[in-house]
Amino acid sequence: MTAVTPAVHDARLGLRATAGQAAALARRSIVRIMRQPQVIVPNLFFPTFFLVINNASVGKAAGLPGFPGDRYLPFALAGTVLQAVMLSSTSAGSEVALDIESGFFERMLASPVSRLAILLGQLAGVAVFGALLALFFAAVIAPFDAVMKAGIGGYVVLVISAVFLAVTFGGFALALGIRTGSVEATQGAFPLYFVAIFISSAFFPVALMTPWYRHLAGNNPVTFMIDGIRDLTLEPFSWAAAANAIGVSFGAALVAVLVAFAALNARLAQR
Amino acid sequence: MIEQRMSLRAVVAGIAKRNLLATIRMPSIIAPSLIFPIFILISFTSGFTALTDLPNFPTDNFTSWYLPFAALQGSSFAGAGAGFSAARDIENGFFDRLLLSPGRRVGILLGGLSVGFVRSTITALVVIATGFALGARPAVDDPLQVLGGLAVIILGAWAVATMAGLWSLGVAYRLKTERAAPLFFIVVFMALFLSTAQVPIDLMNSGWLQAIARWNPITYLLRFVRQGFVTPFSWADTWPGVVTVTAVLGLLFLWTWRALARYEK
Repeated sequence: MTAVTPAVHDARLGLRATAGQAAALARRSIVRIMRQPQVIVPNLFFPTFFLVINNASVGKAAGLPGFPGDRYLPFALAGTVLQAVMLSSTSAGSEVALDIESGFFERMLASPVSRLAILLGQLAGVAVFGALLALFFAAVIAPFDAVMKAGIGGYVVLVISAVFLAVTFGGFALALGIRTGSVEATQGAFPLYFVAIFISSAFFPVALMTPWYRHLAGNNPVTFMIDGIRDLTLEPFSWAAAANAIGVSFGAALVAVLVAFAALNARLAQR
Repeated sequence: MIEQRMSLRAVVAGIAKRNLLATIRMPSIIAPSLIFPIFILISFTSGFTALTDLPNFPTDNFTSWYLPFAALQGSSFAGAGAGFSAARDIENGFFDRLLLSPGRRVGILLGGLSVGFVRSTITALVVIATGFALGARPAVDDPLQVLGGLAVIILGAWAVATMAGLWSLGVAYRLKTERAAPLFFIVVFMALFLSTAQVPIDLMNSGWLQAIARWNPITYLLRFVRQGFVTPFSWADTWPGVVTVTAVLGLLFLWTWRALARYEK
């Protein structure tokens, strides 16, 4: 039997069928996440803990020359949302690895399901969760007079960016899950995410870091993602800032989906 | 009496050797307790270095400030490994067989803690070496103060490893499952961060954290271990740390001892 590439397979199915299948798989993915408190609770607890502790301990740093804004809490919002989204999105990789281990994934591939729908369906769960996380952290800091200076438009951009960021990190996790087929290997990548967050502008401004660390953090794609959202937290709304925040996260999401698609291709080629 | 003392030593040595071998054979256990504090040290000292520009920050070298904390943090992970080993032994039935043996119970406890001593010593030394490479320097150019500064970090590492070890053993004996492992770490992690880990009490941004940090024994342990690197040695920074740590270790020993006694019932 000749192996059919995902693109050819999907073209035969048609767009409407693909969309319907993606919606069904998305629903499965969302319900799956919402039914797992062990996925939800740590992703709320740890970023909240770091946000609260950092604000309470190093918050006075916001008075230092060169610190963007005049308070730490609004400064930290973008980094906290990204941290939460990044940690939670790894579940996309674990879920697909679990499906592979249980044989469900192979059954899905054997059925006339669109390959794109398989990927988008898996990513929908983390995307929805990412949007909820963005709203949660924005709501957590709002009572402390830490609102986005960009107003409603800023919050809309925050949520859209969080969705794309979730797709970004979920896409990379998905690729890893598809390639390895192992929950353990997927979760083993967790330290990489941890390193990516800490060597970025998530908790402290790049301009105030030591020179060599500033160089690393300044060139970390995670910093670009955070700074895009942060501009709207600390400055009034501007279309340029909104386009930058959404553009960076969208671009990253596109790359991640392509990487996940390539991983799926590679897996199909091995069958 | 002599026979009893030998028996205690044999039990401690036997359990320590077994746990040490198990640890060596599983690098995945050792690596996090070494890599994590090194990464945190590099990340925090390079990222948060500007904190020393805050008025009245006790040093202009953030690496010197953070190094002792990073050593304690890594050692706490090393110490909490005792709970892991105990929970694993409980689940696979080895612990019950151990309790049926004629060895003294306190030996089982001390044996479990002993690996934490070894691991925390290694962790502290690695963190100190990394700290020096990153630019940590003693507070004064007195060889005695430098040696003293290194010694108190090692002592602090042992203390925090023992605290974390006793806590995790107490939890393991009570809950009897490896699934309790997150509890070993989360409580220790929170205790460490709700202290003067990042900035002194007066420079904290929130009153609630200042209040917690004032009551947190880790704050006094940090004052003790920062001597030599941040402040010169003084009795005022020494005795609160020694008294607090002794009291906490005593309370944690009772908590763990009672858990062990209950386990047997």
